[in-house]
Amino acid sequence: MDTLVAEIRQKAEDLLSRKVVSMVLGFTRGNLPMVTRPCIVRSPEDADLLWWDDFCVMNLAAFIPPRHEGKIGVFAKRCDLRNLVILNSEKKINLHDDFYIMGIPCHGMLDSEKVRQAVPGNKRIESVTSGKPFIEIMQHGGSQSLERHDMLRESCLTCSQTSPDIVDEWITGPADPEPLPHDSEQSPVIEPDRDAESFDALFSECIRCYACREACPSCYCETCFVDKAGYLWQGPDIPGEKNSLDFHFFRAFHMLGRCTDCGACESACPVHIPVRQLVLHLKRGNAAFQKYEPGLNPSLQPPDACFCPAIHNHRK
Amino acid sequence: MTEPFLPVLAKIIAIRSETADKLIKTFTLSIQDKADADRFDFLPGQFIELFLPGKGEFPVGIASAPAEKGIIEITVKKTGLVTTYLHTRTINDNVGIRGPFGRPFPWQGMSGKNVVLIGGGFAFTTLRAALQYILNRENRPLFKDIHVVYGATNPELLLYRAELEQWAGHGQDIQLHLTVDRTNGMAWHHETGLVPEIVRQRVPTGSADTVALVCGPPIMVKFTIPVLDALGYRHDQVFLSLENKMKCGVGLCGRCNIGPVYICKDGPVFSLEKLNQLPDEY
Amino acid sequence: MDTFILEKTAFQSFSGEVARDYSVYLPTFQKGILGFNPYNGDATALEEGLTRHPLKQFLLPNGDIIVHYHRHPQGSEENRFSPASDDRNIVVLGVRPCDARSVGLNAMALLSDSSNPYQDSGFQQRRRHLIVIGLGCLSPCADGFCGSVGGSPEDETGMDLIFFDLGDSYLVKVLTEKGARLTPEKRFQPAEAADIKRLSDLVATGRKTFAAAADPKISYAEGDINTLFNLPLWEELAERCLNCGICTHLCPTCYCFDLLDHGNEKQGYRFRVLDSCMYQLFTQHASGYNPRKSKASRIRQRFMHKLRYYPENFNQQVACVGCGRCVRYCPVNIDIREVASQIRLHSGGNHD
Repeated sequence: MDTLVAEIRQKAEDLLSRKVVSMVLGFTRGNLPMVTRPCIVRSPEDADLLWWDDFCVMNLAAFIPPRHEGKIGVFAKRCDLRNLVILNSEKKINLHDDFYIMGIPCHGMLDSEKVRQAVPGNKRIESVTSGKPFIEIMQHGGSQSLERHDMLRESCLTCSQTSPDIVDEWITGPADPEPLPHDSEQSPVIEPDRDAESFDALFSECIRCYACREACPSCYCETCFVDKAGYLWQGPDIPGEKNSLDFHFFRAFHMLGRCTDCGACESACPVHIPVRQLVLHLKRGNAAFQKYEPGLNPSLQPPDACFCPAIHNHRK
Repeated sequence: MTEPFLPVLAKIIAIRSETADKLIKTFTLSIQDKADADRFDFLPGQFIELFLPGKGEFPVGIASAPAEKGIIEITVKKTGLVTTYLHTRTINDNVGIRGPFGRPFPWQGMSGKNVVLIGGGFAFTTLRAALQYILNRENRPLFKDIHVVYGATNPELLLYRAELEQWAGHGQDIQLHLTVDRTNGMAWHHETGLVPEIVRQRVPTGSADTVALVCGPPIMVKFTIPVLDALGYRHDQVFLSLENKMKCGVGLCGRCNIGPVYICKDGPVFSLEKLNQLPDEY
Repeated sequence: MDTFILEKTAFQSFSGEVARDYSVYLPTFQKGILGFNPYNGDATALEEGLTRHPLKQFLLPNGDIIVHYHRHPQGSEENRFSPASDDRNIVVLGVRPCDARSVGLNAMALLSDSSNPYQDSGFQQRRRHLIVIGLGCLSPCADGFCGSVGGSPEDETGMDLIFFDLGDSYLVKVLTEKGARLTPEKRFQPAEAADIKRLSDLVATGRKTFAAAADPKISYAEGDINTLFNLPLWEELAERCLNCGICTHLCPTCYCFDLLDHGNEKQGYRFRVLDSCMYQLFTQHASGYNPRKSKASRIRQRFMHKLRYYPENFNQQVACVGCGRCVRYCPVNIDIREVASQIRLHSGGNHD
């Protein structure tokens, strides 16, 4: 990881001092183990703030500043890249004019909640060092090793490891990046014949903080449908009437064909709800969407985006 | 004040349209239960939370001076969900009232002084209550000279116009200056010009015993303050009435604050001196 | 103050007995999340760790009905507004000192004091009926920083009883009359000198590790209010803050609420839900104007309230109990300790 961080910093310093970009969007260290902060760096002297590790779980496409002059450099994981493509095709950003994209080959990000649950007791975690195949956890009074693979985020376990062709350059990092173990045969969490129970069970803990919505790059509406209607039509939170599903169902429909399965929603959720499952469920139920990979091909549109048969060459 | 969240039942006993476009109406409300009515003690500057069951609540300044126990007037502009619903209500409809809330105009400090009332547009409601209160036969001797400057965009948008002209005309011992930005070709016998300009021309210079009450849209207030400064009004002699989105109306729900003060319980009337100490978040 | 010993082997029968007369909640795991869940007879001891959700759910529950109405639009006989009431007797076990302290902080804002003649009677009623059985922390928890805000792991503020885990047993201190009612003689033996010494040894050991955690202080944000208001800090935080509201949902001392209506013109009720200053609609006027339109202004409001406005109104106490939930669950690692330090650095206030 150190060589990767050094390369990122060097690249940022170079781009900023040559004024190729006016700002760089990346991550900086958090002040606690297992958390990082999206950050914007504007001067070459600040390039040393940049950081990269196995906990860069946020999708940087959600942190593009609303106003900027000059180009933005972005250090992007593959899923981030795909969301940038989606924003571009929905005309929210202009990739060609405003961005300098640097791809980071990603080996999967880790789930801090999984780590905490694997570590017994309630002791403060002092540091987490991620290596392969083990992660070292230092706590007051001891240390522990965990299998890295077991700590990967759910979304990383099913990552297709493909990326759109929009990268200006790749930051190489370690010489021989291992491919991420791919688990495309993950069984569905929502069983098609018992979906009502599954929905309730999955979303019963939801407190409607809307972190999933805020962390998602595809949720960019200034006024969300939820804000417009207030709490009321979702069902008031009276005991026996709690209803979080309306919000998640509607949001899932808005996400279909536009979700890159980056998992930022799940990483943001404070009660560890597998938020992605609804969109995945919808996708599985529809052959056209099942075949369509959002954000992978900048010239393609989702199956429901328009009525032009000529564009939908992926439909049969 | 017993229970701030429990409304008292009131009936609409009169409705009057204030403007030609009927977007602003004055409702007269009568608190039904005698004990509730007796307890409803207020001073101009205060507000109530009007409850329309099934629709919601909104805060509204009391637009009448205390007179008959339990009878108040409110002037409401059709803006959102609840106010639109209110505009469809008829005589004898029942509503709920919570209040009176907030700090009124500083009546004790105003005693024995000249009072200048400056209002703009739709914000004249509590100033009208203040004026009614001042002109009340018992109260009038408590105050010295009264100047009123009230302006609207055009003559059709002036509230309480007939009433104001009547007061001015019948030797009620006030100097009334009505003004509009534009006459729009209507017959108009008063001033033309923006409120701050009319204040500059007509309002007397500040002195130890003058107080100014200013209620209006933020832009009007912003340009009126420098005029009052130039006229020599100290900031502890100028009082504004503010508004923000409110829910509880009693300083508990945490919503309407500017800095450490809540507009509903520490205001809505604030001296300019106090406002200057608060952050610019309004 | 009476001090007792409750053997852990007797814990289950103790909680069963309490559950006969009260609604009992205690920390248990549900779907991997520790929360104050209804007692179901299974718990044999109090869990380690801090519940994900704070204690405020018992004092300011979502969906709290505050007034019922029955209305005949034009008639008068059947019209009435009636207050709702909640006089359930609730006992919550295993409340950490940080959560227990939050009750008092919320009470200062919501109950009568000289600056506010109105009080939140729903909150007051629930507080009267709530019995808080605390669990002292003998070692630093995973995420908290109670020392930063003047709290401590053995703080008894806001509790009716406090339990300390001695290993095989709990040392129990009775703090109020409400608490005394729950310590029947047959389960509770008077504590002996050896027990009390054992506790103080554990506390002393724990203190060393708490000190080692080096809590930076979170103190009242001094300085000119406009200087604080215009710090570049707020825009910096806005670059990553999601305005998701997780901090407000999980914070024991965030009590801002919304009042909503349910029903039709004839009958229904008005109820309260917890709201969040992080959301755009919180301060939006009906006209559409919003004094806090920008993300930065909303972030500023939250921290200024916690560190400056609240303490200014209530005895210089910051509205934070150091439970650490906001820091632990913030998806972008915004840390109130850092914000407090940044404010101190730039405001020209006291540097400690």
